[in-house]
Amino acid sequence: MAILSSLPPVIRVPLAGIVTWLAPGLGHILIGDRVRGLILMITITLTFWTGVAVGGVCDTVDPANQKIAFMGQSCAGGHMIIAWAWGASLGRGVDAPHYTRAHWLSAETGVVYAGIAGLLNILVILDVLARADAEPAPQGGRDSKKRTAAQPGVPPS
Amino acid sequence: MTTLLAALFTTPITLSGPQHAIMLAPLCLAVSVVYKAVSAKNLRRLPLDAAVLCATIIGGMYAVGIGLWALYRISVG
Repeated sequence: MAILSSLPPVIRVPLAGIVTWLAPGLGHILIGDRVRGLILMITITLTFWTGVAVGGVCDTVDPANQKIAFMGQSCAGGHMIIAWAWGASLGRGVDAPHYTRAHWLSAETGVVYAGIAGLLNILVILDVLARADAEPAPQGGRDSKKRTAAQPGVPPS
Repeated sequence: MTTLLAALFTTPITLSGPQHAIMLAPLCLAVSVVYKAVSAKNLRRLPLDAAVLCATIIGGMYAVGIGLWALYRISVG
């Protein structure tokens, strides 16, 4: 499943970052770190969508009224795009047909959850960039540093 | 079924004050799990390490909150 490992670093590293931005954890899975990738994917997805469930899709991802929080949320890439498009399709404003205004406490909680999920994805993107930049390993192992050290002639980092 | 699932995200949940405070725990757990998953070399210790970090964050935040509240009560009288 280490699809990206066969690519040259100049393609592998940015591609891993873009893929991780779109779907948190997927970059780790594609470079062969499946368990870590799944843990990150499940955690960030649950955090983001818990925020949307608490605050409502219209109030949580709202670039017009929550500019600073939206910057954080936008780091969650694919999730933010889906939630933003969903909120836009329902319409924003009091007269919109499906609009249910969240209580301020719920709205704040939802915005913070989705924003933190986005900020956590920055950490995941930086990690996948470092791992993708490391020497690709032979089949099997999970820890890239151990695998690099095990290769003859390659000094451990 | 799809409508019911969609309603989960389109209808906001109304939180009370104590519920708002309880919502701190899952958020801290998510931060702990992601931080430990990124930094840990061995993922077998992840549940324990994440639980310890989560408890530390929550305990620290409540300690700061109680400390500030006590300071406020002392200064106001």
